[in-house]
Amino acid sequence: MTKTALFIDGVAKVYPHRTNPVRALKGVSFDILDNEFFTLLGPSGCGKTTLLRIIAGFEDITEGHVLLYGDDISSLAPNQRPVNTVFQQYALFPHLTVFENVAFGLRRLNRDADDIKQRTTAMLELIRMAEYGDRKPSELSGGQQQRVALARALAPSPKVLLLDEPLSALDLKLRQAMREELKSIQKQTGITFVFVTHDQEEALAMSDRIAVMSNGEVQQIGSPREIYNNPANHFVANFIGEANILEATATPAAGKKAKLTFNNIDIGTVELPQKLDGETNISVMVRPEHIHLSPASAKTKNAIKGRVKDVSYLGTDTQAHIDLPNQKEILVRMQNNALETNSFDVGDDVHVTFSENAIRLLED
Amino acid sequence: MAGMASPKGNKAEASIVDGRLGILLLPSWVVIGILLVIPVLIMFVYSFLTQDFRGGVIWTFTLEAYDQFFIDRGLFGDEPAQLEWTYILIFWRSFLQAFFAMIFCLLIGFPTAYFMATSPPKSRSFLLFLVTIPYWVNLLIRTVSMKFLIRDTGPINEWLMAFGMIDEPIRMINTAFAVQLGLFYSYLPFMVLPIYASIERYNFVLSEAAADLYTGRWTTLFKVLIPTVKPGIIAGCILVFIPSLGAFLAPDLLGGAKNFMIGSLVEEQFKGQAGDWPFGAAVSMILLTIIMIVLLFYARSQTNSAGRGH
Amino acid sequence: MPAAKPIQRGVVTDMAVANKKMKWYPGFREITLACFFILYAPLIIVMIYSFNASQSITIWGGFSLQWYEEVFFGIEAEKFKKATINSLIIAIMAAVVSTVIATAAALAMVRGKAFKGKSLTFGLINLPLMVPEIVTAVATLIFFSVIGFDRGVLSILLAHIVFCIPFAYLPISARLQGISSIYEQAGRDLYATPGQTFLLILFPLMVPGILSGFLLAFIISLDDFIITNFVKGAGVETLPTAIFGAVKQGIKPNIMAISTLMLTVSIVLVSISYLISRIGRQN
Repeated sequence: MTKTALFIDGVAKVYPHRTNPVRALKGVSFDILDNEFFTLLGPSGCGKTTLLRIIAGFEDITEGHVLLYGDDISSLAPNQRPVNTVFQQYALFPHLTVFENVAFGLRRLNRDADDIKQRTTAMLELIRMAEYGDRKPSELSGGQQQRVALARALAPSPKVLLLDEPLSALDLKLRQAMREELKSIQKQTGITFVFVTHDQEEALAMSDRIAVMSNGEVQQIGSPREIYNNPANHFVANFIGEANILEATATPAAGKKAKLTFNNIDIGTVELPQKLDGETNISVMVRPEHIHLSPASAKTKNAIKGRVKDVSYLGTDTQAHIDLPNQKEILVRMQNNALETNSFDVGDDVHVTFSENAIRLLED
Repeated sequence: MAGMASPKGNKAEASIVDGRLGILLLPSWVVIGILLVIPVLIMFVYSFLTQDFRGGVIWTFTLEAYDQFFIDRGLFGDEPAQLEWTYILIFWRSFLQAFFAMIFCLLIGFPTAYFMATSPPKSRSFLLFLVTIPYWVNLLIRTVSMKFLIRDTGPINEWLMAFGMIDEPIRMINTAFAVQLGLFYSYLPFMVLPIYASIERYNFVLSEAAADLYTGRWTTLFKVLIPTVKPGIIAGCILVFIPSLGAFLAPDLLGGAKNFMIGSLVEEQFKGQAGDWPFGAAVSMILLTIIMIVLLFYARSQTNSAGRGH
Repeated sequence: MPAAKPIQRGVVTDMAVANKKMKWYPGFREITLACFFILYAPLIIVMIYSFNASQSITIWGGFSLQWYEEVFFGIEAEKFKKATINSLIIAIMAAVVSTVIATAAALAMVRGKAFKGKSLTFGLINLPLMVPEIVTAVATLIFFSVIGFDRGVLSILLAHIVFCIPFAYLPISARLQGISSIYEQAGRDLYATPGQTFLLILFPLMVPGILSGFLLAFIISLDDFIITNFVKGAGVETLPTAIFGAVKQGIKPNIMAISTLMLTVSIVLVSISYLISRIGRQN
């Protein structure tokens, strides 16, 4: 069993206001494990940044505690917490050189001069910027500033490193390169990373575990695979990737199993958490890439009939919206292959099918 | 809001000055409180005291100073009370001259500020530098320069006579015109700078949107740009009007004895022959009251426009 | 934002031309030239005539430095020298004190939480700008006379400190507002105490604003005539009151030489302040 690095214990945050106080965090609790790349993922305003700032000590807690390796750090000032932050806009001190920026934390900790020099140089080497020590931050590119901010926060060997959307100011190519670099630095240093982002692709690519947040609450915690494949609820299903939510009718079958029909078509049998009493409507999710389209002329078993509403060509994929008879529409994503077989046109009648393994049940 | 954390966004955030506000603000409170607020209050009291000979006061309460300002009882004080016009007229004339100074400054200052703000960045900062210099050059020296220029024997008259355009000097010095010119010249940069600042912040996409919606050049100026930069224009007007109203140098050096303004009237009570301190205090109180009323209207207009903005 | 119009080829170029011209208004350029002419003509003419060899003040008699010589070595040289020293002492001390007070106030007002009386404090700091100078002068004179304070250099200094505070406050608070509080957070995050965060991070970043504030306060004090004229004791002169006294007896050429010298000082100081703010912006 791995040690717990951070324990977030019922943390609530209310911004007081005379008429409408804002409840930014509604009492969240979870563990972040030692040496883990942990991501707080959610749309803006979900409370992820507030939580990060609470861990760093920039915001005081309305309710609850933050425990770092068992010690309650909730009431410590930011400079008393062995936790460092990589800020969104880097916040490199403009009047100090790159070297002095990186050495700043070590100097405040009163390390001896040799140690500071050695450690700072090592950090600059880690980010492959050893020769940039004498530059001012304004003389660096965005990517370089980003790396210096990372080195500066890592230099004092924090117990936990907090990263506040550190890649959002970079352009696409650099962002993708930095993802790899961040991940490899995390593995090299063995420091627990807590990463905040609103970019689901970034979260899926880098994290060991993800906490999906919305509305001041944690919606789901799990590995990227778990979160994508088994979203707990509508919010997670829609926020991570694209999702088709279908209202299916379930009729009891053997044991806890239920037979699902959609538009009177049999779409498969699934296992429910508990036995059904009678016929019920339930929400199920199917990812667009798990849906198969075939021409209406083809003989397909248990197919839902539909008509192509629009088709967009996206390079690796083709995406199509299909109108279903009951006014609903679903999204389908097909990988393009060399033979260009996905040639459906707007107005074509099609058959929509998916395997019963592609069906996911959603809470509420 | 993404990006740099704005101070407004994080009210609960511990700032490095928290818990030290009192000690940081104490010097301002003490210095301004003792050396400005209390003196103004004492001046208020002084305006109700009795005049003593040679500039002193007797500590007995009287309305003498205000009576002298507003009411005429004849040379020996035995005639029926009438409204005294002398001082009210000085105030009225000062008011008019400050008002016209403001109007002239606006008419010249607005186009200048506009032209500066729409120049290419390099010449813009140079033009700004050029306006800033007179702003910081000693007002006394600027007024003396103007006096030198427009004197009967000054360069303007000398040159005009040398070119045979006039036979005898045009009388400019010691006229109301000279005072008006002096006020305009003194406070012109005070009009240009705030208007410039607000036009520079103005987003010209608004003008483009107006033009896109079939609005002509001048209509765009009056219906879109001017309403948007109004706070800067009002600030400029206040910055010209208030110091003009209490001006001393321009009327004293350019206007001579006949073109008294409020400033000269006050000065005479303390530095000049009159030596009537309670009366000087009363005149100052009346001036201060007028200006506080103007500023109150200004503050009202500011909060109104801020309220409409959100 | 206006909705995109359907784009037609021919119209695009016309619109580009119209856009360029859209900011242009007839006559504005000429008015700007007139404005600069009005602002500078008197100053430049005084500068030129200060080098006039002729005794007559308005007839050009060739280039000469004789009036400058008179300023430094003439009969009135001693009087102007004393006044200059007084002015400099007062201006330096008033600028130092008011800059310190304004810096402390700006830190509390810009970085501090909202507190009861914050807008009142803001009004108080700016009060010296709102009260007309002549009123401040009268009030201060009466105050010193009531408390029996000796009128001399010290009374002038005290009066100057008060009205220099808002001038120093303006650029300092503007600069502070431009410094993101994220730098202080980064400092705290890297184990700096609040005191270290101020000394090592915030203060160095504030320096351009503090210097501009200091220079403005210095110029304002150096230039002041009205308040000084009221609160100075008999026989104590600053440069502006000495010049005013001399001008009252007629404009002599040496006044123009002094004016030119003071003009030069102002231009140098404004240029320095301008350069500082440019360096500050680059940081």
